[in-house]
Amino acid sequence: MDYSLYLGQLKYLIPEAIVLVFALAAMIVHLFAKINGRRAAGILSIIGLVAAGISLIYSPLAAGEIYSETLSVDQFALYFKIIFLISGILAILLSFKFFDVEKSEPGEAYYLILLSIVGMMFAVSSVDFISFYVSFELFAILSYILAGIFKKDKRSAEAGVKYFILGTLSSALMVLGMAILVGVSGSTTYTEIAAMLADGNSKIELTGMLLLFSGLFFKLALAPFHMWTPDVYEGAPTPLVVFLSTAPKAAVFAVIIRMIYVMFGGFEMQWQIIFQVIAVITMFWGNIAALTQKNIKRMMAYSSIAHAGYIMMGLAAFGTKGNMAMMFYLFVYLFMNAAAFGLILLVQKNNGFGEYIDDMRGFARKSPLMAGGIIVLLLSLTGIPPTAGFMGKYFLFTAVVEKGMYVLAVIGALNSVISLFYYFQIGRAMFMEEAGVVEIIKDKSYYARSVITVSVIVILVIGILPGTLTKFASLSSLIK
Amino acid sequence: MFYLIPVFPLIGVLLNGLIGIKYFPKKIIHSIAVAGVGLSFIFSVISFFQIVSSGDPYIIKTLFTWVPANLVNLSNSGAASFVIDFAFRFDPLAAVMTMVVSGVGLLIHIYSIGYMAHDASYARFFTYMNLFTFAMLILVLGANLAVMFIGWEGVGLCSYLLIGFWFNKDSAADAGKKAFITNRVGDFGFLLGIGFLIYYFGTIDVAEISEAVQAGGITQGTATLIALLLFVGATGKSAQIPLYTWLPDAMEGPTPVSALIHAATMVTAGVYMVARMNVLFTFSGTALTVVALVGVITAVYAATMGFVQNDIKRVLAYSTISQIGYMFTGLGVGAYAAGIFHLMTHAFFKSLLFLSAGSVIHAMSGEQDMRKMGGLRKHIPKTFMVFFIGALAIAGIPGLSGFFSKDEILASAYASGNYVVWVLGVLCAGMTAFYMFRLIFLTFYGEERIEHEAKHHLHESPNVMIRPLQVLALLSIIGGYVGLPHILGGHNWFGQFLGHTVGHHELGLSAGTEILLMAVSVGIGLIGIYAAYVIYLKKKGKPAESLANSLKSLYKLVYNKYFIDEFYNGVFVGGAMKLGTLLGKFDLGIIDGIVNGAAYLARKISSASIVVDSNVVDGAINGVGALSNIFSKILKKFQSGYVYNYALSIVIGIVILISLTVIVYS
Amino acid sequence: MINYWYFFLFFIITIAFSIGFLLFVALIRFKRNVHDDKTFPYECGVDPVTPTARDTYSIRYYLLTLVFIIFDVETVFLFPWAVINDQLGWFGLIEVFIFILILIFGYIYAWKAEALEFRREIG
Repeated sequence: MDYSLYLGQLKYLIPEAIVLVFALAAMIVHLFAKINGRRAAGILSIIGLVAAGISLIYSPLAAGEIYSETLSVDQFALYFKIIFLISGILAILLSFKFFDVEKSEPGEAYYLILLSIVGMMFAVSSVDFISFYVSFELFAILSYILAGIFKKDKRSAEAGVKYFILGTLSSALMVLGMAILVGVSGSTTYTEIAAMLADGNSKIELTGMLLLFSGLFFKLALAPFHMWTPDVYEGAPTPLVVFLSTAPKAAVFAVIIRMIYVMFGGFEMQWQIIFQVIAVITMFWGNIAALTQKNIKRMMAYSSIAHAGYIMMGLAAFGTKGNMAMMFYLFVYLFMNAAAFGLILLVQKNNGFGEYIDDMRGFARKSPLMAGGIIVLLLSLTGIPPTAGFMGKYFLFTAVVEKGMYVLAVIGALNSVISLFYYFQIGRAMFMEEAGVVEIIKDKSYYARSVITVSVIVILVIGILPGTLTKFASLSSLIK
Repeated sequence: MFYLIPVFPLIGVLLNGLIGIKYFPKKIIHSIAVAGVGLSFIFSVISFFQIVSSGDPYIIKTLFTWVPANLVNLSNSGAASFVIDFAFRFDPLAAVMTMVVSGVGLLIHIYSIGYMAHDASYARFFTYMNLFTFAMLILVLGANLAVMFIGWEGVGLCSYLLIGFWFNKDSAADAGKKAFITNRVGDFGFLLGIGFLIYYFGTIDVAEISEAVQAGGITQGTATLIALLLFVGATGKSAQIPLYTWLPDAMEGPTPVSALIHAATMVTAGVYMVARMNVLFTFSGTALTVVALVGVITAVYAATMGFVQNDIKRVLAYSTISQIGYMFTGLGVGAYAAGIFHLMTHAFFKSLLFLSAGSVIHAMSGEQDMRKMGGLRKHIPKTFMVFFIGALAIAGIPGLSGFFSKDEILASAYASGNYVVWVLGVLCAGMTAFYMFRLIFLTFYGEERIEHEAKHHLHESPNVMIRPLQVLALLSIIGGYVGLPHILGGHNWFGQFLGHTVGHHELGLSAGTEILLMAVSVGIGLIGIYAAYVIYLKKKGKPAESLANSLKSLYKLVYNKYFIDEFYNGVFVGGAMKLGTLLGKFDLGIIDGIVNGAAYLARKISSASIVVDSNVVDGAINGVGALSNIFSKILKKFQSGYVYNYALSIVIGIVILISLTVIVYS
Repeated sequence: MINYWYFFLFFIITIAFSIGFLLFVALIRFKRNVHDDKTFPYECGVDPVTPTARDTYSIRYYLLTLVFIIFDVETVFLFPWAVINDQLGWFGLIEVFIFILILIFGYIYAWKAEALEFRREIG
């Protein structure tokens, strides 16, 4: 093997290196700065993410697989890396506001977000089980810590522990699946395993694939692996939920797309059915269970389950169009989630945040502009034009219809009708109830306000002029 | 030029909505709002004369490409590429609609200045009204179904906002939600229809679809499927059976809203859409029959409910449902121009009726119950005058606008051979005359049943409200002469004009038959009026009471709107709620139960093990004690509550997934 | 197959050496220092065999142990590098330095977060 190339290949990993360096720098600042070290660490983290984003634009894409066929730095990975960076920036901005109000700022949160982004960036590039698993665990374990970062808050600690235990179980099952595949094929690289799986009718290989997928489905919160989601999202600090509900999901979807593309083409008949069934169960479960929720965070948790179901339809319709639709939707979903959780950070209740729908009463009277933005957001979550959410669903449905899965498309459309009921409970509370109940946190609310404003603008712009993003997504969706 | 028509109300929305709410005084707010709609009206008229003089069948203006080519690949439709342009289309149909929307809208905006004068949320009201006008104009100008859909959803949203305008009233908030959700059910069908159009034609452009249908691109069955799905959308928006229940409740909104949105414009969007897609409906045939039947049945059905309502606005609401049913009847028998003609005249006289009803309510200090009115004609003579003209127009009295449009629909129904439809239509004409004059006699004639407090404040409305009413009254009289039929010496100019878009057929009836048909419908109308006169004025409602008493159950059935609301509530709303609660309970209740049970069991075992520990083991070898300590720790892991159960669900999921897949595929 | 004999040889030598060393020490040591702690199986302050079998441990003990184990395990990763160091060349050297650097940062964090202090004021 020729190792002399390795040194030169380091240039493909510059964005990851930048994030890592800034994470470590933020940690040093946090530990050693005498005054305001925590906030400085946060600001440094944002600078790092922006710098990584800029370097992402200018750093070269590798023509083939690098480092003994373990990493593939291609356009596909680039698209997802951008999603992670944006998700990190939005989450950190919301965290500033959140920690100000809570009067407790765990500075670790900032660089743990950065480190977990490093893990995701490697995960989407991985084309080998070892590099995949190491980077997967890097972001998985950090996400458990992030969920439980408020050690003294019972709910946060509970969320962290629950997430950790169940996450460990699922990743153990996933490793079992990988072990089976490696055992059968004798190799850890995707391409070599693919050669062994080409015929696609061995039971043991099928079992391995399903175990592997089950572990990944857990991270995506697909039914029946979704049970942890409401508890963890309710307990974890709100801004970190923005991060946990977007970036890891995008990463795992990317990993599944790559695995199917490279490895599991032979099993198309099997996974197509499985994905369809899981998409249907997940959409129904998420949407119907959300109907009776009173807590917005819990409701959004079920909503995120449902959205994972929608995106799953794209996976069932795997192909150029399906992939493009999924990638488009993941990008849009990021902004929708950031704005939805940002809303909670605007409303004060008993020195904390108003997490219940009833707490939103009279919001429109107090802050009409924000309320208008939230209505756009709700339209987008439901999938009504002219919003990005509509375009995303539109692409998903057309992709599904093109594959001839009419029933799935109808069920998807039906579900988006169901979702209207609970999303507009929030709208109703904001507009249709008497004023004076809500107390909007005025001081230092510009972080949350700016995140919501930017998100809503992005939602509208993509909704009306989706051309650029669709072009970029379809260009990126071509692996190799 | 015509693409500027929707821009002015949008400017009004931005000015009033963003700045005006906080900073503008009332005068500037309503000036902006009225100017926005007024400019739209002027531009509509200019564009109308342009299209008349140029003689073009239509003008298309593409603003930008919305969904670029090669993004969507539709191999099965045979279309080369799928593009959605953000484009407007101006043709005779659009010309009529824009003029009706902006013209009637203008009058209602002016009226609202007086009606809403004392409302705290003045700016919000005019912002919503302008936003509605904007969305409605987008709807009627859209050159393809996607642009039309923006307007379609936009008017739905404005309707929701305006019905719930007085949102601190629970009933208003609920009515808004009901309207929105019911409309969404219809939209679901509309969207599916668009989806199928894309699938089969690869285009959603109105002109291209028409060409493709005429070229024989699809089978009749497919056309029926698509047309019926689109029609589901129309039933939602236009309040037809089975999705009509939201419209009576929508009367919770301010009266100008009821007049503009729930009588004159938005609710006729379904009629407009069917006329727009007329080629598809005509090609299908079956769909057209369905439209005619739904229309005429709704017309009769809603009229029966109009008989027994006591709320003045609700009577008008059922009358609106009934009249839209008429329009659909016209469309359904292939007389698209007649349907649109009735749409236009109905916009005049129904908005007139609503606004004068508003004037009555205004005069009565908010009282809407007709049982507490009576004899008002002496107190508010101007309002009475215009209301009476409106009632004559809707009852189809010769010489007024309603007569011409209604007659053309009935004649077309007869000429097309749908005699059942014709009979029901004539019957409905009589019922319309009856309930309208029941309303007139109860409200304006007879003894005064006004409560003391209201009588004290009884006053005629200000001029800013009366003038628009007089203009509308004039339109209700003369509006019909644009479509004067041949038999009465006219040329049916309106039909000829619209014929460019929706096709125009001569009726092919002999002059005698046509005169006879007219006489029948007019006669039935007069009988209706006379019956109302006898029952409600001469005998002071006693025959109605005794009839209600002798047929108690039937009366109750009709009075309670056939219990359809209760049925929908119980089956759909209740069902969904129950399912939601059930799943929520499954997550929280049953799982909690299992978890608590497991925790309880674990605690018992643990406490048992403590007993064993302290009494037996402690006394024995210490090494065994250490072992038991480890054992207890393992047990503690089972105490972790929820997590245990979640893990179980993961494992069960995997077992089912793998076993089923492996069994099925081997 | 023959190569494995070296392993067993290594094994035997190790055992022989440790026994020999203990015997050697027994010959030359001073007076035996008898102390309670010295009778514990693991001379770390924690008694695995307690009178009640329901004894409690300081939570900091686990934290310290975890930190120790993490660094201990990370050291294992140096072995594969050492084996093919001559083939990897400069790249390997840089890589392993980055690796150790990250570990050092982890160590700094543990240190500043007072994970290495056994006694800490609860505040």
